[in-house]
Amino acid sequence: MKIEILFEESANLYGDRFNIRFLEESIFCSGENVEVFHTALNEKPHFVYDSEVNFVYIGSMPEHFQAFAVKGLLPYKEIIKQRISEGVTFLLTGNAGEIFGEYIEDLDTHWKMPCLGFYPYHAERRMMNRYYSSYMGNFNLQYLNSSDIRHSSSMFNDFLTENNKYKSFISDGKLKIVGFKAQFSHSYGDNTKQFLFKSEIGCGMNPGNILEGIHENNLYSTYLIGPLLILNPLFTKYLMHSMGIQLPLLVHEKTAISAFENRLKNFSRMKH
Amino acid sequence: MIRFNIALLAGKITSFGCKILKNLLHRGGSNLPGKLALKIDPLFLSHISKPKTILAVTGSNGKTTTTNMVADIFEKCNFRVATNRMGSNINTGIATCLLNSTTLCNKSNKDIAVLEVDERSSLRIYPYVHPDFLLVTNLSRDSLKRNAHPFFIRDFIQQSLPNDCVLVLNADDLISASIKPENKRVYYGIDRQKDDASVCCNLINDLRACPRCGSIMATDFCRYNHIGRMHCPACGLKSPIADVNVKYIDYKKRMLILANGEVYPLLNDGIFNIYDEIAAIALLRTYGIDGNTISNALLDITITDSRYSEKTINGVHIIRQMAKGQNATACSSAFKYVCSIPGQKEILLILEDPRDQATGTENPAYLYETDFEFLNSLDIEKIIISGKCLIEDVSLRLQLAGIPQDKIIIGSDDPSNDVALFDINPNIKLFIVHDNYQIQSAMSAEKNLINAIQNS
Repeated sequence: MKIEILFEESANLYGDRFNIRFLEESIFCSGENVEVFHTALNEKPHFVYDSEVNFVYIGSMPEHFQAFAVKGLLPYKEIIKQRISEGVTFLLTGNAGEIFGEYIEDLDTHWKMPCLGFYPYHAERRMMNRYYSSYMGNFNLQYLNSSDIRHSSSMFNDFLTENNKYKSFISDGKLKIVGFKAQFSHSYGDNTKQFLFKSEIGCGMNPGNILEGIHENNLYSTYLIGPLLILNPLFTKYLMHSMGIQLPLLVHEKTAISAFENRLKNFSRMKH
Repeated sequence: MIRFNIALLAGKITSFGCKILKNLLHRGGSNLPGKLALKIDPLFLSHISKPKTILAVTGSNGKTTTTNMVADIFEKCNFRVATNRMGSNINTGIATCLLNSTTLCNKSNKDIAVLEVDERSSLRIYPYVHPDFLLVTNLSRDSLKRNAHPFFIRDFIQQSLPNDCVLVLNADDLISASIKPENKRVYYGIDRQKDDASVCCNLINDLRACPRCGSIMATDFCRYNHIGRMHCPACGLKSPIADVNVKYIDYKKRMLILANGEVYPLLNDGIFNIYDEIAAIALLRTYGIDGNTISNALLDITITDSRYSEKTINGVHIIRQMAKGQNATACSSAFKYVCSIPGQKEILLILEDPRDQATGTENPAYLYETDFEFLNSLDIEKIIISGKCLIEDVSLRLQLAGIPQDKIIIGSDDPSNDVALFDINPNIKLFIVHDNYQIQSAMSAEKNLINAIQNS
C-alpha cells in the first residue's frame, strides 16, 4: 500500500494528520505493508509518476495556504482527474475539498480565487463568521456507481459479514458518521448526485443543505474534522476494504469503537 | 451623553455593591458593573474617560502574567495604574476597569492603563480604547472553536489596531511579529541557548511552511512549536532582529543578560515565564522606564504560578499542574514539564471541559495536536483518566502515543474517587494534571488524596 500526504507542512490543522497515522497503523495491523510519502508544496506528487499510489490525503489548512495548494496542484490537474477515474482513493478533510471546486470567494474582501474546477461547487468564505457544530450523519454503504453496481453490492455484503458485531451501527445499509465542523466557509453547488453524508445533526455543504461532502468513485471530500477516520472507525474499515484489504483490522480497535459508540450515544441524545 | 451618564452612575453603584459583596464573600472581581454600563450605553468604552497612556497586552499565552508584571512595576514607579488584573479581559472587564478608574464627573484618576485584552475581543475594544502601545506575547493554536489558527488571530487583531499604536512584538514568533507591518515596532527575543533544539519536536509547528511563498522554512533554532528563529531559503523571509535581546539566561546566578549589557533578575525558570518577563521589560523600556528602575522593581516581584502547586505529605510528593483546556500548546507544555521531573510517577488526567461535559459534545481534535508522546516514558507507571465524554478518546490517544494499555487506567467522572487508583508510595510522585475549568475538581481530588495518604 502506498499513501501520499500532500502539504502536511501546512495542511495539518485540527489534528487531521492523525487520520493518516491511524490509517497507516491500521493497514499495518491488517497484515499489509504500507509506505507513506510526504509531499511538500513545491515537490512533484508521487501519484503523478507512480500509478501504484493507493491513497492521497489533504487535510485542513490555513486559508492563506489554499492559494498555494491550488497553484501547486494546477500543473497536475489532468493526472488528478485520471487518478480519480482510476479509483485511487482521495480523502480531503476540512477545507481541503474547497480547492477541488470551481472557486473560493472571500465575501468580506470580494476576492475570488479560481480553483481546480473538478466539481460544480464554489466556496464562500467569511473570516469574521466562524461556523462550529457537532455533526452526525449517515454514509450509504450501498454506494452505487452506475458502472460498478455489482462490485459495490458485494463489497457492501462482505463488509456487513465481516463486521457483524458492529451491525448496531448500521441501519438500512447506512453507517452512522460523527464528527465536528469548525470553518470560516461553506460550499455551494449541486451535490445531490455526489454527496458523501446525509446530515442529521449539523448542516451539509452549507447551512441550507443537509447533504454533506462529495463522493465520486473513491474520492471522499468532507468538511468533517475530529479527526474523521479516528472518530469513525467503521468508516475507516470501509475505506480500507475499498482499497483492497480483505480483512481490515484497526489499531486499538476496541478503544476506537468504544469511543465511537460513546459519542454516537451522546450525539443521538442531542438529536432528541 | 445622557445615556452615558446613566451608565456611569449605574456602573459606579454596581461596582460599590460588588466591592462589598467581594469583601463579605471573599470572591474575585466581577464584570457586572461593566456589563451593565455597556448594556445601557453600547458606546460606553468610547465615552468613558481614559488615562493619558494606554498599554494593552494580548496574545495566546502569558497575557495575565505579563500584564500583572507591567502593572506592578508601574505602581512601584509611583504611577497610578488602571488595570484589569482582577477582572476579565473582554470588553465588559475593560469597561469595569475603566469605570473604577474614573470619577463620577468622568475624569480619569489614573496616570496609565495596563490592560490585558483577549485576542478575540480586539474588534470590540481597540476602536474605542485606543492603545498607545500593544504588546503581543505570542500567537499559537488555542481553542479551535473560537480561535481557529494563529494566522486568523493575527489578522483579526490587526484589523482594529490604530496605525499610530507602537507594537512590542516577539521576534521569536514570526507569526505575531508580522502584525501590522506599517506600524512602528520594537522586537524582543532570546538568543539561542544551549538547550534549544535545531528542529521542532512538537506535533504543531505553524511555520513549517513560509507564510509568504509556501516553501519549507529552515529552522535556525526551535524552542517549542514555531517559537524560535527561522528563515525561508526561497523568498528570504526571516525572523526579525530583536531590539531587546536576551543573550544569555544564567540559571545559576538567576540573571537575564541582555545583548546591550543590561542585566535583570531571572524571576522563574520556565521558558514561558522567561518570555513573559522579557516581554514586560521590552514594553516598559519602550514606554521609557530605564533599565535600572525595572531591574530594581523586578527584585520585589515573584511570578505566582497559580497553575502549579506542590505538596509533600508523609514523604509522598503531590503535584497539581493546570493545563489550559483544549489548548494543545499548554497541555504539551504541562506534559513536558511532568516528564522533566526525575523519578517514578503516576498521573491523573482531568482534561475535559465541564461546560461541554453536560452535552457530551467536546471536540477531541485538540488531543491530536497535543504531544501525548511526552508521557510515553519508562518512569511513568500509571496514567489515570478521569472524565465523562472523552475518556475513551484520551485512552485511544495515549495508546496511539505508544503507551502500553496496561499503564492506562480508565477512571470515572469523579476525580475525587479516582485518586484511590494511585499507588501511595514515597518513591512515586503523584501528578494531577487538569483543565483550567476543573480547578475545583482537581483541588477536591488533591484533598481526598492527602486524606488517603494521611490515613494509610
